[in-house]
Amino acid sequence: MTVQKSCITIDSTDLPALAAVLQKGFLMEINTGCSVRELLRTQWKLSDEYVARRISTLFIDGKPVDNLDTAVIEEGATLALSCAMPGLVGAVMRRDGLLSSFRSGITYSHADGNVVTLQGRIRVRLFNMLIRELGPGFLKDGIEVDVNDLAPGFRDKYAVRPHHRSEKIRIRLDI
Amino acid sequence: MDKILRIDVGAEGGPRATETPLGEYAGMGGRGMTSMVIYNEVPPDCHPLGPENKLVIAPGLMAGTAASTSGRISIGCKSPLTGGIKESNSGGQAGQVMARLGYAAIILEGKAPADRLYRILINSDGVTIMPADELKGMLNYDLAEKMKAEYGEKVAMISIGPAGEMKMSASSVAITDQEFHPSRHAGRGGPGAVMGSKGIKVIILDDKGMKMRKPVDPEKFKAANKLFVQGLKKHPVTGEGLPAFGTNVLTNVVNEAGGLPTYNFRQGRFDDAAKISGETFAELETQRGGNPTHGCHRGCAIQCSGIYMDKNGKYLTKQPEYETVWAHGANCGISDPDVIARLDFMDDNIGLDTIDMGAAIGVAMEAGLIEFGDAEGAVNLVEEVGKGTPLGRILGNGTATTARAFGIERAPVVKGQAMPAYDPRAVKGIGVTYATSPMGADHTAGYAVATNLLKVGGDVDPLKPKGQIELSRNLQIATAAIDTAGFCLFIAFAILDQEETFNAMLDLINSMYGLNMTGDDVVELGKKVLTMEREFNRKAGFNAAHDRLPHYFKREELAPHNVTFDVTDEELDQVFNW
Repeated sequence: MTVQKSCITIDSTDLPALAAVLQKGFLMEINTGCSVRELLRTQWKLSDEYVARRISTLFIDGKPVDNLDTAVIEEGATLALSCAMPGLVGAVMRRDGLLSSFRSGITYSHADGNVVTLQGRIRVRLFNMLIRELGPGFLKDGIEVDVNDLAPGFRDKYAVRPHHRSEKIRIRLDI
Repeated sequence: MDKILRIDVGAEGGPRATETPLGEYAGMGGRGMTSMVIYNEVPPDCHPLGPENKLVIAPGLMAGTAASTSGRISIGCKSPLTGGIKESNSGGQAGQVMARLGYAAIILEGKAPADRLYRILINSDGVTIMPADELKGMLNYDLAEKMKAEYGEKVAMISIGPAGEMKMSASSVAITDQEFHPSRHAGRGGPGAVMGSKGIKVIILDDKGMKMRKPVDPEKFKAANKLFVQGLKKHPVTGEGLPAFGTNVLTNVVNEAGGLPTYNFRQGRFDDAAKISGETFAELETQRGGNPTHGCHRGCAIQCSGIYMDKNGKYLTKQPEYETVWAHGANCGISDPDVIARLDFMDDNIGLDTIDMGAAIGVAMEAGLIEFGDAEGAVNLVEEVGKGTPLGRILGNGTATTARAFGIERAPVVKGQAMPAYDPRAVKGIGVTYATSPMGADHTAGYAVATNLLKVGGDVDPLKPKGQIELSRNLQIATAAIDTAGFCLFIAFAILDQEETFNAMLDLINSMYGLNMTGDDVVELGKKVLTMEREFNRKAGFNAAHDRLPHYFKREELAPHNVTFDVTDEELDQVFNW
């Protein structure tokens, strides 16, 4: 019987091969029920200055977020992070931007109700420059990805064989 | 740029060139020039392929100078696709070269002799017009090789491919880039068909012996340009995102927002978006020896274009733009970058608007001609266009024609022009611009330019839904002004965020021409251009009923957010209320 690996350790030469996975999304364990600000600052140790300067566009479940202090990360959410984007739509999606009214129909708003704080998992997506800037940090702590999202070459290198559709594997970067 | 070149293609004895001073067109460039000429000289009720229509080619006011990122060119006409006024904008080398030759505009006019083609050579010696029937049917890349062999690669080429010769309404005018690839296109609205109707296959511009255009105040110009470039370089969009990933950096973000039109605008998310993102393309290009950081014209500080190689490391096409990746990718369910690149090359080679082609193929897929995701099927359809088969002629005349031919309601068009890569239900403000722009569905007509700095119509509360109408108005005004100056619209983010960069841009224009323009003057220029365009369209038969999205956008909810376009007609009618 072949036993699937549950965790693999990579080195920095493998980072380009993981770029697609970081875009598609990976699972992270966090304390959910917190604000985005708290997640970025307290749990992920990103400075406010970095967040203000680099994470210009941010989505929760596909909805552009304007206020990091009132937006709440709940269990099972998808959080996508991006630098500033070009063009009209780039400006439109930007956090608290002048043109945010253009996408008022899809803007994130926190639903009233009790927020449960617990250890949980969210999906994180990294786009553009943040792949290189934040990817290694997440990988150092370890991320969980869908095996089927890994590039064939990468799977071959680490002898990863998917046994079923939604199989997950943990990947950690050895720094 | 102190003269206009008029080519009367129907003159007795063959096409004749005449140079005239600027006259009433003094102070106009780019879109301002093309729209003013069309407004003044083209009967709004004429047939776009008839002798009364004109094709106006005009560099921006700053082209041919040392100002960074200022080489855009505008090509204007009455559009065969929309039936209204059209300004189609492009990068490439032609704008700068034409400006250094001293021409503020080249106007093709008159009735061309039947079944004849001509080439035009413009250099410091003057203008030479030659029969060019031997070039009939030639693809743009083959034409470029031939022209390079005859004239060298330092010239600039403006040409049409077979689609323009066949006068297809989705045909483009191609412009060569720095490597003499015909990879930049004035695509929207069918200007290629108008150039074809004038019997002109190719224009060669050779500025050998000509110098850079000199500013009135060189010291102020130099200082302003330095600040302008610094501003572009330091901004994360113009200094990092665009040079690293090109415009396709938008795929992931727009997809995340649920606004990436997928399977002919059926949904706003494409599961395979990451496979065709700008990040993925950049990595592929780098691995294969291409280049994801490249300027479409010399002197561009942003360098958002790129070079795409095939699996064997051979040049295949320019780095596909976001619009191409969407149109031939997500909209058609295709997720193979190499296929998308191949389709991009074919569009460029045949001379087609990549947006209308991709949207037309999406409609063809909806009609069941081929399945969504059928990559080879999509390639075959574009080949049909290039050959001019009956099916190819339907597709090559754009999305609206294709939908009509196959009885499909869901044609994503406004004023006959296909919508670009942002679903208006997810981003309603852009839907306002699609609906109301005189150009038809156009994503560049309402670009983000310093709304707060320009303060058009007073300060706007961007969080109020009402703000969308006023913002769309402001943006369309500002964009018209930027298109007139010839700056690339991608400077928008840097000048929106950084007041000193906006002021540097104004100083560049002022020091070039010895002016004292302010933000208000920029606004007035934009308003003037838009007023002419709207008036032309009114006389051409357009009214408020044409400033609308197709009805199904009000009815069909777009996943994943399940939104519809609910901006009212009354609100849309307020956009141009000055």
